[in-house]
Amino acid sequence: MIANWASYAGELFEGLKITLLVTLVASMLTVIWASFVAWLRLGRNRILRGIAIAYIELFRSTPIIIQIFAIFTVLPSIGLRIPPFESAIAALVLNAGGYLTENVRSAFRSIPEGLTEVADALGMSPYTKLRRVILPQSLKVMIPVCANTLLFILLTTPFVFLVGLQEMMMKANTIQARTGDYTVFFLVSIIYVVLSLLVHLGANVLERRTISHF
Amino acid sequence: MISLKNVSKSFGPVKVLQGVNLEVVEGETVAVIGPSGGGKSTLLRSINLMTPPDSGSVEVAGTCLFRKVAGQATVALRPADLRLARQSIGMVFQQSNLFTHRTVLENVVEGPLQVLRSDRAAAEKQAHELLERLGLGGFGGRYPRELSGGQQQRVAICRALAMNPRVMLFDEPTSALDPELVGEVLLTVREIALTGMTVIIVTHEMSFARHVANRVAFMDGGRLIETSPSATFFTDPQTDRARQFLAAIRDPFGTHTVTEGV
Repeated sequence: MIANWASYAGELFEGLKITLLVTLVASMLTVIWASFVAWLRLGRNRILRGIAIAYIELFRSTPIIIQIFAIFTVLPSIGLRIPPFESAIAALVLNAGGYLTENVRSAFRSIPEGLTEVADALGMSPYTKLRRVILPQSLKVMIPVCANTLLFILLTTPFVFLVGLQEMMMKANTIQARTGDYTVFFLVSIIYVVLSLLVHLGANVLERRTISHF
Repeated sequence: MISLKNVSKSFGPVKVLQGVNLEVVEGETVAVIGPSGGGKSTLLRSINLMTPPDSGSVEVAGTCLFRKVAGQATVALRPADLRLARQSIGMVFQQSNLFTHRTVLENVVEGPLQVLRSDRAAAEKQAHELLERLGLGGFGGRYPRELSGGQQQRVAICRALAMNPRVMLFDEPTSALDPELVGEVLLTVREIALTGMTVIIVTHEMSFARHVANRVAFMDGGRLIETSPSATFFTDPQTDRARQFLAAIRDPFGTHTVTEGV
């Protein structure tokens, strides 16, 4: 078994690189996107708030496979052609964003009202208030939330095979089909578990460091 | 400097402000006192529109911030103009509300750098001078959690002053403090008042109202019951309600009546 695994290692590693790249890019964009939507969601503009709610509900209540299809195959039919990598990222961000927004929203609301009042009294613009007060003050609550999103996206990446990206799970499928060796899925699982543990570990370290600052 | 005319505000069925008029001239210190729930804080918060009134007019330093009066053009500032107006109105709250993730110095320069777009070196120089003046020299590098409540409140005052406001509003700045920390904060407010700043302070500290304020505004039930020079308010209040209030705080156990009875 180990000997077989060694012979797949190179191929799987190629897939792992795609998995990691997609996960990292999508996670970073998701955090920014979700913060933005949460901000609209909590804002005063009724129309923007409505759009935010519609987006959250739509993307939380449809399967990601449909979302990926919509972006990769339906959009081109109305003349909007997005390359595979960008489609995959867009789908993951929009999907995870729907969930993360609600978490970010509660993180924002965990900030003492007095702090946002001070920001208003100083004459801060909504953007400055978000960047200088709300985001940094909610960091403590945001770290575990972001770690969860990272994991969620990591484990959602296999769906991007739909747009033809050769990420790790896709590679494993190919290897299994070629060799008939099902244990490759066991190897891939181990890799996912190790990655997840790393994310948890990193989040714990970050959280401890941040809290010592408060 | 500050002019409130016929300002009214309701929260649902509760009328928290009922046609309040208040004129404060430049350099004056006005203490707003009265029982809790009388509308003191709401009055203060209506000045920088943290709590926008329902009707009446609010004018600060020659700028009309709000007007909704029958027969006159309504004034409601656009958000950007409101932010601009707030820059010249310093406000200190009951809680210091310091940015806990920033040092004392960073808290003080936050407004000038992020809102006024001042030069960092100049903002830091001014911040150091302010901290020094308020007895916080050497505290610049500390985090808020390392300071006492009184020190935190003084940093909050520095943060507001760093914007070079035309007026300063204090909303019960000592109510959340340990009794022995109240003095240092009130001394700081007095020091600011003595520099010629226009100050309105909502407070329960009667000695401050008496000895530091030029005038006392006594509020109850959403109305401004009496506005008198502080020298006469405490010795010769003009209204029954004020007399009643002063009697209650001077003699809460009614010892005078008891001894008279005996």
